[in-house]
Amino acid sequence: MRARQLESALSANVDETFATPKQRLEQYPTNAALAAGVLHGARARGDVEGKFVVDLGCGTGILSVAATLCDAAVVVGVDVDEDALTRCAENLRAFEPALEVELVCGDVIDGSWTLGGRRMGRGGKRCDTVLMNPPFGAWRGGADVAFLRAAFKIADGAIYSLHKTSTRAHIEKVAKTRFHAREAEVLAQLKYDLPATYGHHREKSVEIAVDLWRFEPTPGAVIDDEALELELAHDASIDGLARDLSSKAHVRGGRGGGRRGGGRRGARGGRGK
Amino acid sequence: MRLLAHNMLACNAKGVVNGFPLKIVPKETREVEVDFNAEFLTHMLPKMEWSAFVNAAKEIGLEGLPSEIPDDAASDEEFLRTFHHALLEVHVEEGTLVCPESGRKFPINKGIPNMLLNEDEV
Repeated sequence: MRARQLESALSANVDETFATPKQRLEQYPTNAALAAGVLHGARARGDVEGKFVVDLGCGTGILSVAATLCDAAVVVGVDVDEDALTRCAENLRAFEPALEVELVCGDVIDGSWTLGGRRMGRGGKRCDTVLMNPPFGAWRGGADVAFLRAAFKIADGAIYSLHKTSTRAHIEKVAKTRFHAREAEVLAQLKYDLPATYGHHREKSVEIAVDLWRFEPTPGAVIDDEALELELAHDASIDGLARDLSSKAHVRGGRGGGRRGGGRRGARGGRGK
Repeated sequence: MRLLAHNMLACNAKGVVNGFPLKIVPKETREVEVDFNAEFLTHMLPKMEWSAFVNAAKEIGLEGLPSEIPDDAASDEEFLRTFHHALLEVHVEEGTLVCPESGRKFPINKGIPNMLLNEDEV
């Protein structure tokens, strides 16, 4: 399937919006163009066709669908949100015949769903390729890095992930020092058009620059969970403070409070929680 | 949930040292044919927790898998077909996964295992 065909198949068949978006999970739709862009990069490097692919934080499943359409041998989608998985299952059934993607309801951030998760010492290397559009850590500081850890723990081939371009230096450093990535490369800079989703979004949509990363794990590399936990807790506390300050600004009528989507949003933000 | 996914799942609740493999108590299964791909199956073999896989297959009524992966697995088509069927073609639609250590149960509804832990279990 050519890139443009993939994009139109995705936009015709996949409802990538969340029925009940949850801000704490930073649920934003991944549009068809973005998903096709990720798959274009991964497929060109031979990381999809005939491979065992895992989609971490699969949400409504557009990357899982795209990987299946690009002839991945098996796709497993993991998400913490049951409502999103329900929408995902509907999206899979919208195809004729229905697409077979394994869905698991589990917490990617703490790895508690899997062998090789945070608390488990053994095993864990299972899949060839991880594809993901993780939370950017705007709501829960360090969520992006926690997702990367999960990916490095289960992939032994390649990891494709989207991160805000503004975090490029940080992501590269974390990938190399914490996760011992053999390679960390930005394949493309893409535009992520974030439709206003939550009550505080004022603009109809905001376009942000995101990097499509490709990481290659080093075989046998061990991630130091304890050191990383401390760092993540630190990130989370700083971010919690920033969030408190920004919500106070919001109450006072200030224009803070913008997260990932930027800016507050008025009456049109109907679906916000 | 197919056995491919089951092979990755574990119970990591607080205090559990070895929450793998989860025992499957199936209530409803269905079969969906998948194209046989010997190359992919051979590629998957070293990624499997084999004894967990063989036990899980028995729990959902699938016999015929050897307790050890045969030396000549890549060229043993009969073996690969048995592996293929158990790995990819049988879905547990409804049922329960049980932690071997704590007995914690995880439901499987509409084919989706729910591995979420409560706050006091994390």
